[in-house]
Amino acid sequence: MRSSRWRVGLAVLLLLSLTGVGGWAYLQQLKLGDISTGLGTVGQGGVAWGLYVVLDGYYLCAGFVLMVAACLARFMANPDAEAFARIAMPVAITAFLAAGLSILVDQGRPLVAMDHLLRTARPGSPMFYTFVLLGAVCLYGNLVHCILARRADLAAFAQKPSFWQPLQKALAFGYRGTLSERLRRATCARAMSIGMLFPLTGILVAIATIFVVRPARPWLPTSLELASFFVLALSGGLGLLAGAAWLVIRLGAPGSGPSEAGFGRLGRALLLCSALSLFFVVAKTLVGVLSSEPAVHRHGLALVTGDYAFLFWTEVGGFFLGTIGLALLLWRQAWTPGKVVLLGLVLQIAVFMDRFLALVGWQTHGHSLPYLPGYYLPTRNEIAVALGILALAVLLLLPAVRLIPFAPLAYEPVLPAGSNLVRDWRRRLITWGWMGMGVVLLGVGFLSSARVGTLPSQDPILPGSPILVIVGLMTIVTTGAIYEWLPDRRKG
Amino acid sequence: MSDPLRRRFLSMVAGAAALVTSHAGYPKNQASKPRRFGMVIDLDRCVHCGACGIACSMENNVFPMGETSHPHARPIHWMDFLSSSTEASPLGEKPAPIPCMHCEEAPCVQICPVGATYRTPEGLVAQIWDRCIGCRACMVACPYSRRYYNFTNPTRPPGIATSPNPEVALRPAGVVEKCTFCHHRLRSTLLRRRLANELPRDEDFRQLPACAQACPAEAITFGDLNDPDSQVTQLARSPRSLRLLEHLGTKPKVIYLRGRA
Repeated sequence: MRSSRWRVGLAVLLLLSLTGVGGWAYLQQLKLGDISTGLGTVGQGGVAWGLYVVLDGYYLCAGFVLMVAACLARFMANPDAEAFARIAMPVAITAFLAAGLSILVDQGRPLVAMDHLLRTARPGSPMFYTFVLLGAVCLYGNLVHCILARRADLAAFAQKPSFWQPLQKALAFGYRGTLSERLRRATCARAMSIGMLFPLTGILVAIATIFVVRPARPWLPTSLELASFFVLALSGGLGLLAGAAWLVIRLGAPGSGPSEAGFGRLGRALLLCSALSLFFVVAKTLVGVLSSEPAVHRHGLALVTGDYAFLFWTEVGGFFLGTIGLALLLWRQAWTPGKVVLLGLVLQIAVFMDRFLALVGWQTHGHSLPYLPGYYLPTRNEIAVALGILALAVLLLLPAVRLIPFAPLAYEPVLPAGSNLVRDWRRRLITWGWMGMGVVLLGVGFLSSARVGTLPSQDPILPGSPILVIVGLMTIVTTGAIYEWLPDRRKG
Repeated sequence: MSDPLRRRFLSMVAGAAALVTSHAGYPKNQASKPRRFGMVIDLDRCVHCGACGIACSMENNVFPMGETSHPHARPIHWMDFLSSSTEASPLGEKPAPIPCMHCEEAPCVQICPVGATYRTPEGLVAQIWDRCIGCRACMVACPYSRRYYNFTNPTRPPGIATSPNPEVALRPAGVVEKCTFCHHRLRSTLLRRRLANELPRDEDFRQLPACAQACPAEAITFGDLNDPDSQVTQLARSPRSLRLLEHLGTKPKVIYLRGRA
């Protein structure tokens, strides 16, 4: 126990140092301008989007996969799936937070960006969906989903005196663990798990559009790039989940993480994703190199033999090593958590390289006009800011882990046979009314922002319509809490 | 300022404002006829002197920013030159002037999240510097790479003693900028004609942008593409005309003329 505390203390110190260095580096960036970054002018050998946007895409994809895994786990009455879901939810929120911070530091004028996006953002731009869905669904919605899923545990934790007890009591307020509460939890978990998939997919599509759709890129390379984007998202997310689960086993209380059999199942899923990733990376590169379109051909050559060859072959090597390693584990049936995590880490590096090359390589070598090719490497300042963001996001995760530990106390997957919810019209009315209010706010905000039938560059009809969209989405995802928290009617 | 003088000044301003804002006394067909400004660059006339680029920079307060200014040069050239550096250029082997194309289906307008880039009623793709958040999505979306980001605040290098053009705002660090087809000149020309209760003539526009005015070979012509009698429309109909990356469907409004090898 003491050894574990010592390690956690050291980790916190390291994270604080990294956050401090990242904060200082960002202040330098604000003071000097983006001259402190390695960015440049597209067409003159530079890139407009660099490390920050790469990381934004990486974190969003990882968060998406973690959240989808957590949602799907709700449909499996399996302790390992439940253990992975418990870990995936807070890690997903951390990833989304890191994504939000990454995109914020990339803005030339971050304060103006927050102000103008909230007042005048237009749904014609994929950025609208990125920031609206990131704020309202990925961060707030997932937080609601996460707290509701652990409410029974929170009620149990709140029995023990601790620093977090008042907050645990507040979050578990009114929970008694009755059969009707458990039935409502099961209904709500199913509804939220399915409902959340739509906006989560929306944000993945928005970020895929930003990463993949490029002027003058023909449909075949675009389709392969798109397929590769989604498959690599799976590889990255599942690899991150394996790493997080391993950390929980190493540092958490006994019974916090999944079993070795659970790691085996995760390893098999990783193997499939890794093999598919390797296939798509090879396919899209071959199509690029053999393409008759000059921009696509130039980009393909830059990856295979040109300026980005080292990064590209590191990526291919990563996927190859990951696939072979995981196949060997499958052959020998030796799914130990350590080995799965190690191979998951290799896959993370490969996925990151792919994201980097997909975004950066096209800007320096994919010009439609005969501009000189360029090159981009992030500066030390950018790397420090990126590490600071990661450290800050993980630091914010630590209190959450203390508030709701990973070890379950009240996990009861099987409900008594034949148990059904009693129809409660008051609850239904309030729940549907609340959701209807959210839908109205969302609809009004969206229609006002979109201004259907008018010029795309016009301002929203109602100033601040994006806020209405965000509030509407937040109201909709809060419906689950309203449904569960409303107390049962007293008989008589 | 004395009271009578101030009163006279204010009455003049009020009168001018009333004239501008009302359509009374203004030719009726002027208000209903949409304009669509474009540019024709005759590459057979162009002598590749670069005067257009320099005039553009001076007119629009685009300060030179090279290796001497900072270690990572991120120069801004609203009017740049395209040459066949790596592969055959559609504009020939010699450097060809290439401003913003002011596309009718501009990808930069579509992708801008905050409406900082928009299309004016005259068909120009304009940018509101103050609204730009510096996300640089437009730079990535532009297939012509005609957008520039201000990596630092504008600083005049030593040796340039002239004061900046007061008609064009200085852009701060963190915003994207681009060619405006000298929108300020266009507005003042239209306003001048309106105050005189006259219709603008094609001659008013032909050499209106600074690049066109500075071109010694008169290779750059500007005008209303919706006016069938304008010189720019006549030139655009030439069999020598071509548009860059027309297959992308962006409908650029800068038309090149290139015939002789």
